[in-house]
Amino acid sequence: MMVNLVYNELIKIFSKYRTYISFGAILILMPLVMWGFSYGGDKMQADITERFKDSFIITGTLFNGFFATYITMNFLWLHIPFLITLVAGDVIAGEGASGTLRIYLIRPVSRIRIIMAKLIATYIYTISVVVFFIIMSLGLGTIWLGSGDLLVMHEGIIIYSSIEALGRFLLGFSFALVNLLVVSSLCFMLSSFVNNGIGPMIGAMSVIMVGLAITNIPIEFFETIRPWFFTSYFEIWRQAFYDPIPWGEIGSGLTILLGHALIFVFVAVITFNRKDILT
Amino acid sequence: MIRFYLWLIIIFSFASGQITSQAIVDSVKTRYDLIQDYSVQVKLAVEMPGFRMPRKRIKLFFKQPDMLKIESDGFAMVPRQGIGVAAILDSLIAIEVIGEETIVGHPCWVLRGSGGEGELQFETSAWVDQQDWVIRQIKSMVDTVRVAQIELEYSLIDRRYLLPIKTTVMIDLPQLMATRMDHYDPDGPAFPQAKSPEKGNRSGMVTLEFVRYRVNRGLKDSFFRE
Repeated sequence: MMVNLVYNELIKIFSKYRTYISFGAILILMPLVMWGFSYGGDKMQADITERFKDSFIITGTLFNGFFATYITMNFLWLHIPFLITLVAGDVIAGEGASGTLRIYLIRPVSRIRIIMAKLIATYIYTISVVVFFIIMSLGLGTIWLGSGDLLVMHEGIIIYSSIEALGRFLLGFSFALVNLLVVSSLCFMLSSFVNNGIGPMIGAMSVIMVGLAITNIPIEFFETIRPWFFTSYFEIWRQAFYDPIPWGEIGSGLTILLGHALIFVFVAVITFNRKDILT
Repeated sequence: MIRFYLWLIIIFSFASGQITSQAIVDSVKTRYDLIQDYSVQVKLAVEMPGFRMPRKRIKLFFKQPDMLKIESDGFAMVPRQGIGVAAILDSLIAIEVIGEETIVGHPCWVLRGSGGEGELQFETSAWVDQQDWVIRQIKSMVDTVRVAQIELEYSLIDRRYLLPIKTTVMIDLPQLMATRMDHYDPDGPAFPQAKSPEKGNRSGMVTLEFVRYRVNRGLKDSFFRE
């Protein structure tokens, strides 16, 4: 029963054009990034290794699919959340706007089941975006630029073997996915408040922007609330590439992220259950 | 035969009074000049704060006077001080003999010279084996602080050529590289509560183990230009 509900929600999500905007953006962007790396990579490597040439003989290349993926992750994980809101913001409010929600709720299925199906479908969409990003970054990067060691710059230079790098990427993408699921949950919650899909999208973006400001502006008051704000952990994926991995910090970061997700979902369920559906 | 020439140099030096640094340097060069070219597999291990690299296997090719080629599976950074130690003597000026010392059972002459560029001036001591005329140890100091120490173990290759089978490079980071490494963090701390790295003792060690030497096989110049 639940599977059918989720399946129906997925059909609704994937029958909308806007769902494919995020896939399209990644599909266009990643080949461009790989092309750029294949042309400008040598100069970038020269810049990075210049200061070590006096002490070390440098051989081989840093520029491979792993490094391109790592660099891309650095600038893309602030933008992918915006792509996620396109679907997550519309999943409840969109139906309210189109007037199908009332008819949907006539069926003998509890509201809890319906909202959980919508939530699971939203999460599946989020996971599919991340998987597509992995395919287009690690997959395409490895085919285009090859694989090899991964260079990470954190408190010095860390070079991971290709096997180690794959493990770190697996962790990094998992942590990034948790982040995106929090954004999905936030947008989902906002979607349960209104009957227009645009509001939750802009609302979620605004919350993220305010949160990032709190995270980055060095004001004493912000510093006290910063650890409790989910945007402070937007870059938790980076810690997967630290050596040693700071499991303690990651654990507390993931706890706060998952706590936010739970609160957002809880509020969404309560709101949806009590909602007077008039359209 | 080579020992005969080496001893000849030393005997002439003694005949003229005391052994000179130039005679020792010449003896070392004569020993190293026996090797026109070689290839060797190198196992490279780095233990250094601010620099982490997995154990690497590289293939190193050398041809006199200074042609060098390294083949590696992937990216590798090989410390210059770990290969071609004989060239270090060439880079020093005002070399003098400061005494004798035994290093791991090998009686050695201790040479001292100075080198460096611009503001970075250092003093280097080299321990030259009195019997085999190879460098057993090198130590570089800036003022009174050690910045690098190289220890070498040798083995007789093809029953004729004495070549290093293990080179250990100990680098004290604060003086030479730590500041470079510390500045090398474009990411910055990811989290407000992230701790700064400890800035205490930052010594590092690079170990190079050399296996499967192939000496004087006639490597062509064009090979090094590829």
